[in-house]
Amino acid sequence: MNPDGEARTQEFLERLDGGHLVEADDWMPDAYRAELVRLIRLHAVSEIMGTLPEKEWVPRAPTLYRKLALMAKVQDEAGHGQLLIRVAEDLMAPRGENREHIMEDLFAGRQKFHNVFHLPVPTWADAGLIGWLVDGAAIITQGMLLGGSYAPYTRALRRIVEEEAFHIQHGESICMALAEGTAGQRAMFQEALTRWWPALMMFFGPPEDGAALSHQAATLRFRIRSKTNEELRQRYLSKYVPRIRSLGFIIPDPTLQQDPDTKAWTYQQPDWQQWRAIIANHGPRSAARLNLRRTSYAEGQWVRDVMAATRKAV
Amino acid sequence: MATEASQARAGEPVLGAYEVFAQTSERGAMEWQASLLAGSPAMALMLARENFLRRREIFDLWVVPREAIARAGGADEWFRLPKTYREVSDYQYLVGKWRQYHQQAMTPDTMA
Amino acid sequence: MEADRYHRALAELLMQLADDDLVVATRAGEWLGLAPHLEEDVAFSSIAQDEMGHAATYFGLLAAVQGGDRDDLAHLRPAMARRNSVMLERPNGPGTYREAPHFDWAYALARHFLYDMLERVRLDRVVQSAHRPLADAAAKIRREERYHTQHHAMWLRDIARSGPQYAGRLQLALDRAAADAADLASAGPMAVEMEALGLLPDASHLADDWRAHVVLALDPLGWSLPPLGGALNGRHGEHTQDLTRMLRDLGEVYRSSPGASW
Repeated sequence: MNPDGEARTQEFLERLDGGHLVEADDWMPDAYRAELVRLIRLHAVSEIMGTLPEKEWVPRAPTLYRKLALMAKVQDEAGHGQLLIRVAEDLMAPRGENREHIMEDLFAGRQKFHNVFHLPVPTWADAGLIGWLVDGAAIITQGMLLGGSYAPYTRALRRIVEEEAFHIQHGESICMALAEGTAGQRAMFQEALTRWWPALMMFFGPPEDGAALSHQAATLRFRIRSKTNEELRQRYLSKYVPRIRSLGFIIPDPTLQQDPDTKAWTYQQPDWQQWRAIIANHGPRSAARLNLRRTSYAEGQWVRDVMAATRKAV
Repeated sequence: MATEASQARAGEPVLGAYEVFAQTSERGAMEWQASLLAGSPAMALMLARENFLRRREIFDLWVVPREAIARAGGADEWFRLPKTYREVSDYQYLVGKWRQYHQQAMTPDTMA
Repeated sequence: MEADRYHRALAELLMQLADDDLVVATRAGEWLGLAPHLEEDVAFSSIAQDEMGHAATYFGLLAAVQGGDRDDLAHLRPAMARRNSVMLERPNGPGTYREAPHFDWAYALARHFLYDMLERVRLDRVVQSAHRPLADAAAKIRREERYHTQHHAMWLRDIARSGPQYAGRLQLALDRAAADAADLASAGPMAVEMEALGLLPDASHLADDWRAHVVLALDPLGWSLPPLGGALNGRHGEHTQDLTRMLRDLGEVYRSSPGASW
């Protein structure tokens, strides 16, 4: 970087420290743009891939009401993907890139998505658990990002977080019905919880143990995020462990406990090797879901061609 | 002498209608304010600020040529039956349920 | 027994309305997350939800007339008791929504367009139905359908003017949809009673009206309505294995624990 650029970056950082927000066509350091693109693409693609595990349960949702609500919820996820991918596209425009590049990267294995969306959803309780405990995790991350320095992202997040309030209650409502239901329904939820707990502990990423990873250090410095993975996970445990236990369910971690004085949770570390493998598309449903997306994307190309032809004709 | 105004009367308007949108807070969204006539987008911006926003702090301002706007139509085009299944109001009963479970959890003998 | 005839004809009509919407909504819902364009995915899901909501309304009316529960009616009736048109139960394409779906957007549009035209001419009649609760519900539903009509018309127009390679696809899809549509604009075995009792006024001209609307919309775009086919008549409870499989899915959880609360 030339000295001019360095001075400009320094000035940019000072403005961020002063609470200044950045807009899409403001000047920004390349590293700031790169961190935003990385983060927002990951978020967008996770929303888009996140429609697939839950949509499997739309037809099978037990009642007409649940079918409607789940459809609305998955629709919102697609909508969140849409809001976010537009923010990403504006940031990628100077490089001549758009959502097509994101999809190509996804299909080529260069674009990751969240670990939870690589997993199977074998029962209705799993679908409910995603709404309650996975969306519950997501809203903690998103709530933290709301105060970030890139204004277009925070505007999209504000809409998203508003809608997530419905998602969590929708998930809670499904899980509550199972908790208050028959022995079979309760067992179904307990099994889902046992199945999902390690993935939920993985959701926020590995603990920093005092040494923030490079991307985190950068996003913290750029005031894109304000909390570490571990801080978010601690908050999550404080919110959800008492609720899960109050319904009489057992969290499959005998070591899980909260220090009465510091309020800090200790917990069994999930297998972080496995986490790396999952997000590298080696999860149990990674290949199938990518295939689903790849096939539908390829077979819908002619429709996007129609849209492009229409635009030229106007 | 053919003035610009007389040309306009002949059906070739020289002034364009612009719709004005303002963003009144840094994290807020653009909101429509009013419309005006101007000869260029730059002029529309200059005029909009003092015509419609002289009493308000603004963060940013957009002017959009009216012909660039596609319009959907009236309320009938937007009619939608209630979809309470996607509103948080449908799930308010959960608040009371959580309170009840929380209290039970606080009382050890009910947990046995 | 006049009252008995009235109730049977009303139940038939409500089942046609409810089953059509449930089945078309389920097929539309399978597109969720897989539509060709992200923004369209969201828009098309609203259409699926609208139709599912209409189905819920009709099942509620049916439950009020017959006794019982709308979810029982939606989830437990066997295929032979269903009254939806066969065209609506057909899959979106080869493959299922869970594994390697080869969904055809042209077919989705063609089918929705043909069904939408039926909904128009049918709802125009149902709003005058002698069964007031149905007439009132239909008046609101008809207003919500406006978006669907415009949505499908927009896509058809854009495809028509994008060139013969795309227009040809849509004609093929229309052919395929029409091959199952012989029962679509039929009011079924009690059509005469429905008309005579004022439940579905002018039921005898339903099919002609539908055809006129379809042709009027397709003709300027260069498409024709192919001959209608289909050996099975859904209005008589005759259905394909596609419906059997769908019903298995629809009721999988609901049936797993009878009487449970979900």
